[in-house]
Amino acid sequence: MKKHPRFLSLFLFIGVFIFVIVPFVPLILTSLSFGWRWPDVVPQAWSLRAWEYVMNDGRTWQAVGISLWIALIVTTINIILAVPAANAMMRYPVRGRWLFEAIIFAPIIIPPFISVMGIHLTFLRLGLTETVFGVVLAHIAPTLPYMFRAVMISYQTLSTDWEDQARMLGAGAMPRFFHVVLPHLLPGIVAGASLSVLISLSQYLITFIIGAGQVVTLPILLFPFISGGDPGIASAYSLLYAAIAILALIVMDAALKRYYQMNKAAQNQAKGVKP
Amino acid sequence: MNDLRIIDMEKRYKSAQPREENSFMLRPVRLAIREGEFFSLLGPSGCGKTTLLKLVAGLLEADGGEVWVGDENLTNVPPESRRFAMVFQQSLLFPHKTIEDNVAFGLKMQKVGKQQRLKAAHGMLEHVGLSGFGSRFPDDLSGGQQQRVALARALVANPRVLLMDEPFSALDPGLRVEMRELLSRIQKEFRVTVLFVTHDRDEAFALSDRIGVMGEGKLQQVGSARELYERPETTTVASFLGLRNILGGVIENGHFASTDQLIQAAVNRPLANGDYFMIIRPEALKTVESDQLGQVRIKGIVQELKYGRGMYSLKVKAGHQLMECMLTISQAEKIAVGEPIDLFVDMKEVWFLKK
Amino acid sequence: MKIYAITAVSSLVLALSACSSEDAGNATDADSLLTDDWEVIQEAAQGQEVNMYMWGGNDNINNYLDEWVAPRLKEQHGVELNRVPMNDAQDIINQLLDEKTAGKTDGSMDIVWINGENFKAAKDNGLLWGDFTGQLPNFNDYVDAAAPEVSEDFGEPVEGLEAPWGKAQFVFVHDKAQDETPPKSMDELADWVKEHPGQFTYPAPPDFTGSAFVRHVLYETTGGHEQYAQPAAEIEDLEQRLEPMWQYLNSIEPYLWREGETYPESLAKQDQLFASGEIEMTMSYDPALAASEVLKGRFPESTRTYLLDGGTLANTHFLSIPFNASDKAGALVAINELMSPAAQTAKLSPENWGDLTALDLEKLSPEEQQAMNEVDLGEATVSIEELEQNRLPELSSDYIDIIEKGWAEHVAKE
Repeated sequence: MKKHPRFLSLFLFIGVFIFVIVPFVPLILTSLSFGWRWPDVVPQAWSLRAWEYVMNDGRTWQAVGISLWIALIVTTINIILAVPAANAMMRYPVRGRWLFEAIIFAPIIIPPFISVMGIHLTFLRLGLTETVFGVVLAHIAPTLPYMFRAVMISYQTLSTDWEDQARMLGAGAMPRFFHVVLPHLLPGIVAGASLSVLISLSQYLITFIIGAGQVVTLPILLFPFISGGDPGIASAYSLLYAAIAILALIVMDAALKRYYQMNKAAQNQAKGVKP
Repeated sequence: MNDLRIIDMEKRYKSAQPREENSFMLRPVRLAIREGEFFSLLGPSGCGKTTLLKLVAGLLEADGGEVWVGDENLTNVPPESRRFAMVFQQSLLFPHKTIEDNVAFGLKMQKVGKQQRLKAAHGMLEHVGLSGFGSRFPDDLSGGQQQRVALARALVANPRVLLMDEPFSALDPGLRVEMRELLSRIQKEFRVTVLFVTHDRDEAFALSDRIGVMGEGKLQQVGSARELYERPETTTVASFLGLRNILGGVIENGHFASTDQLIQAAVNRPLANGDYFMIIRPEALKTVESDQLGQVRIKGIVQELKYGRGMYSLKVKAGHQLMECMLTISQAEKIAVGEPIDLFVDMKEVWFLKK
Repeated sequence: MKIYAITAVSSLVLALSACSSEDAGNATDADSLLTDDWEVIQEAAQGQEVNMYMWGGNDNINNYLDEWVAPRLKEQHGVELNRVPMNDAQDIINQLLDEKTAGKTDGSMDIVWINGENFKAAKDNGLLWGDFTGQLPNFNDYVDAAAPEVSEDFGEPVEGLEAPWGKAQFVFVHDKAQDETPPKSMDELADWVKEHPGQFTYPAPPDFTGSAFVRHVLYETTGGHEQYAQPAAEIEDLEQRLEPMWQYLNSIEPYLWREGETYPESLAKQDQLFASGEIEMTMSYDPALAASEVLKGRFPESTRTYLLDGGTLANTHFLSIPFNASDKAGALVAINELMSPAAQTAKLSPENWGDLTALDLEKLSPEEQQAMNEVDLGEATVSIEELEQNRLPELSSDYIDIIEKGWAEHVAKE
């Protein structure tokens, strides 16, 4: 049952190829080309100019570090906020629950620009602008809804019977959470965290306004080149950005797999029967 | 003695007014279960038996009443501290833990050392016939095996009371019988007090020392299987136990006359005059006249004849009443649907219920 | 719940930041820098870190600042220059506006790169520090302060609030291999366009360059720029005067790229069309841009720039210091250094940037003049002399507003 028919996996492969790999091709070619002009299908001459600029600029690596650092903190805070919030929403008949949900989901629907303009002055007065911390707080608004949604869906599939069962086996609130609820939520948390990391990494406007040039993430470096019309450097930055994002996803996925494998390993160690 | 005592526990619907008559999900129940006893709560779905079980467990908050074990009042003790165990309809094994970790979970919660708790878990798995399965994961096991693990997990921490909520109802019938035997054996071996909820009469009869029949949010009658079957106290209990030959009538001066005039017979017990139900167990209806005294004849027409497990069940239309009885194969050979038939009631075997 | 979290955390941060804000105190006596001797300023600048907020979309410009200017500043003056990349100078103004409203006194922006509308907005809202250019030795020695392109920025009096950094002049860009004799007036352009349908277009205003192209049309079709020296509100028949411009633009529209149904939304888009050979001409407000694009291989080797016979628009871009800059002394030293003949000469070179100098050539020493003249601007660039001789002044921003709105109404809609 778990094996897909062969044509299905072929179909998947082609789909992945067309939608994921193909868009990268022109980016790669553009970043390496020297004078790629119509009607040439591929560049006639090559140049490492764009990559040299991107790689040699000390800001690039600083920006990569700061981007990831912000994404990490944002995601951690999101997890800490979303899990109890989802728990409360799903498990207790909160009055005016729709209002809470509306507030949490609002940043998906309302453009972040509007709210950021609003909080900019407040953040200025509180001295939060130009700080990584201020940017982290600002990133929470557009990322938390996705985390919250993912965790809430995980909660929906977790019947209270599981917790009741653990309770009847003598588990208090904390052990119940760590032994029953958390393992069940984990795939949802990882899904939410992936979205949270990706969205945080891709924020330009919010980072720009709150960070005010002092918090330089990758999009801050990338955007002027897109609008300035230097496709070579813009492509190189975009590729670097994509690589960082993909790397972040792979690391998170690997962490989840590792978590499951730690359990499987115990099994193999004991028996060595099933893989 | 560590008897389980349930004293006037009740549960009401949240939305209902407190004094309203229909506000009860469960009317006050008073019940004492002896230590080591196997007690079943039997009833149709929605009768309140699972509600009662969860009240005892503490998973539901009671609107009144108390739970005691021995001289300890557990009413306000949270469920995780009651030292009860519970097996649900689904096995609810933790999917990310191995079988042995699942079984040892209760001991882990009691802070028992790893070596010791795994040893206990392995021992318990052996009892349920699953030794060697410890390092597998729940997904690798069949439904029956999973439920056996659930049983082992519930028992390993030596609970004061084992609560079971229709634990076998999701299994195949054959497996169900096997599980009953396993449970029966283990219960006797560990002398654990069991409160078992089921809607399956045969299951309750096969396992229980005593049975409480529940219906309409109320504990109707408590007794051994035989007491309940032969001397039901209400028509609700009677009909739930499969006694469908119930005739309304009047007893006057030791003589019963059914309202539809189907039966008129002398009553062989001293009963006061009044309105009564006469309950005739299927076994008390015969198609052949024996030479015994006190038999009453009923005339009817064969409505249905069905084969089941070595016996035929027969439905006969007599007046407006549909009578059920059991026949041997040789008796059934002479009978055809649509033909008239005489049924004979052994008046010694009938049971009267005052209206 | 989120709001509680934010308030809780922010009050914590506030408490923490209170400890570190005391060293911002020296910003209050910064105004004495406007009168202090240069030595005092240099002394005060030692060890300051200066944040320069500027558009960051050109690797040449970025490298010029990071690799040419910054190390020299550090070595010779002990001032650390930190370039902060921005997407648009407009964002700088918005940011400063918010900081002004919030009363932020220890701002991070020490130098900002602005001109035109942004300068006017900054000046009108009091976002700039003060009359500082007189303090800069290089400004006093090498700049002709009375020249209109220095004393006015798009018609707005500069009043010492910003120091000239470089000059830009509008040029047309074409491929010599395709056409030896490009159109050098608007009349010629109209004929050329009809002969080469689909080969010409211009970025839709309010794109900066597209808007400048339309101003050239204005000058040539309505009889010169002199009449627009007074404020727009004082010309009563302005609408009638502009009419020939709209007629001209509509008359060439059917022969434009995509028959004028759409216009490129930015110069970047238009350059892309030129680079890919879809159109034969583009334009730029940076006379050396074509040369640097050739160096990068984006434009063909045969790319050339040229001016209109009647001259093209020129403007100056400036460096300024915001009202709340934390390191004003450092900013003064850095700006002075950016205006030095050496830095200006390096800036002129196309491999660094190719930006025209803001200095008055006649005020330079003969050696300095020679150094500047020896810079190879590249084949694609018109000589400095020719540029200097064919300058037209810019319009003030009230006109620009009217023209940009009018274009949307008269040209884009019809």
